[in-house]
Amino acid sequence: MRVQADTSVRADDAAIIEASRSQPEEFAALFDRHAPLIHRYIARRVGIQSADDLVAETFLAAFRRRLRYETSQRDARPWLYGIATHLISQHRREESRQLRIHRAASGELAEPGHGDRVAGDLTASAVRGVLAAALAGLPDRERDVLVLIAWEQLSYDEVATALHIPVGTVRSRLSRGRARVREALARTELSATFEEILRNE
Amino acid sequence: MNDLDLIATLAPDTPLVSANDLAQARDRLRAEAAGRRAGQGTHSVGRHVPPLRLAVAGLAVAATAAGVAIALTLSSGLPARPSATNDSHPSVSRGAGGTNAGSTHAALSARLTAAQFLRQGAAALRDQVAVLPRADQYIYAETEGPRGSAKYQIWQSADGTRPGLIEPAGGIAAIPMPSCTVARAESGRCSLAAGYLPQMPTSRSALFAFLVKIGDATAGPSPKPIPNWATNDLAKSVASLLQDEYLSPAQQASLFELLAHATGIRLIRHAVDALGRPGVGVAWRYQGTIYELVFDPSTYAYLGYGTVWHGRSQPQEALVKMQIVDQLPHYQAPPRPSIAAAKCRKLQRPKLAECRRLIAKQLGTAATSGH
Repeated sequence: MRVQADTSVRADDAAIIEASRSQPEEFAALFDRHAPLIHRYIARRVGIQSADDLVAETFLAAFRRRLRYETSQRDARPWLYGIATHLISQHRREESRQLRIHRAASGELAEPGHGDRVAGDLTASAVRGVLAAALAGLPDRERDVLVLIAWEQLSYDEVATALHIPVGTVRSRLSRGRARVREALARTELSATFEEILRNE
Repeated sequence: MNDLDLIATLAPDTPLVSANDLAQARDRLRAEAAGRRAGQGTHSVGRHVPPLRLAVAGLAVAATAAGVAIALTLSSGLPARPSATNDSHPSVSRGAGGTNAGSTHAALSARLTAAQFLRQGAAALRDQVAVLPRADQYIYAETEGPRGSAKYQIWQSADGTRPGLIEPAGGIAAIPMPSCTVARAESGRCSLAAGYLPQMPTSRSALFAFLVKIGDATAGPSPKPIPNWATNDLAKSVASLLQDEYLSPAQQASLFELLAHATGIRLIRHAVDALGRPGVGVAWRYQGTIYELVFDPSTYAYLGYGTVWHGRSQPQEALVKMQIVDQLPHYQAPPRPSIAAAKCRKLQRPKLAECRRLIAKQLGTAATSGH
């Protein structure tokens, strides 16, 4: 799931942004480098329908802020994730819908198989459904942190940079979000399955 | 696999798109860049791009703050009376925290600074009678985004000893919130879930140390050479507490005093919150974005937050209602698909489809059942 960062390439982000200050068209290189990743992030959160527009808006907003970019941050991904996250905050309804769709989909199976396996799949699937519901129910600030870390594999420092918050706040939000998700699951009879998944996979 | 890994599996299986798929977005950017190169102004291409409403840290959906209660106290001149009933579904009053901004804006001195406004607010708040929850009560808060979007309700145990409840926006089923007292949180066994923190200091210096301790503020110099880093860090910590916790008037006053010492804050005289309530903004610039916290200019009640774009408020979220209640609303536990799953094990293959439908139906019910 993790997109391995090419540090040799990422190290040039700040240079691209710096160059774009006098030669605006240079900014397109940043788009080419990171747009697919940011697009996928947006699509995961609000659905593919809104992703094209939002990825364009993310980079337009970034372009307009390029003069203020802190070039000591060589990797621009946290900056871009931050801008995208804040644009997503304007689309919470789409995000809620996306999570509901995902939860509903968790109750389905592609192909029937052996009874035991199907039952197991159903239970694991139900676990994911409850998790999706719990994720949807988190306060935005906790979901932002949880998703950037669990889905996008950002580090605590990167999340702190993206969301303009202290690292300690990243930790506390992550901790609180995880606790809420676990609690939501513990209140169903799926908790044993959850524990089993944590143990075995 | 830990729980984070499991959450990671929830990421919709979305492929990375090709450059071709992104051509339109890229064209918009290139047109903007070309326009900039040609000196055609800053918004030369495409449709209007709404200003970013960069989320203020800790300011998202869940919110419990004393702003409204304090507003009522100040507005009436009498202590606000918390509800003593099981007000599990309080009616939403868009006027909650009712502002007198229309008549008060004119009274604001033309030279009033943000720091002066905050200090005035602190002085007024310190004169107020505190209305505090009992340990066995709950703090109910409701927030809303612009144009009635993203209504969010939360009930928190005042002292964190009992579970709370979250009713998210978007028709998602209500979700219980685990209990967690301050003591248990400090021992690292859970995340704090108390709606009121009586131990929060009411003096400026002690308060900052407290914010550092709970991880909401950073001591010492900026770890990064970014202008206004410390102000941004502090202001967002203050804002987070204003929305997250039921604060006594003295606690809120100390937050105001702390924020008044921040550099780079300025007053926005005609701000508006997400409910359209007029107010006064305390704003600061950070990395190209101007953030603002909106307050009632006469009661100093916290109304909401947002950003400022070309001098106009771009509200993101408003605190609609906050009150003390005695009980949680009735909560219906979600169905138990695992029981159905266990039954599935005993079925023959022809019956499996029916079993799947049963579980899907249960999950579907879970998706829509309220409390």
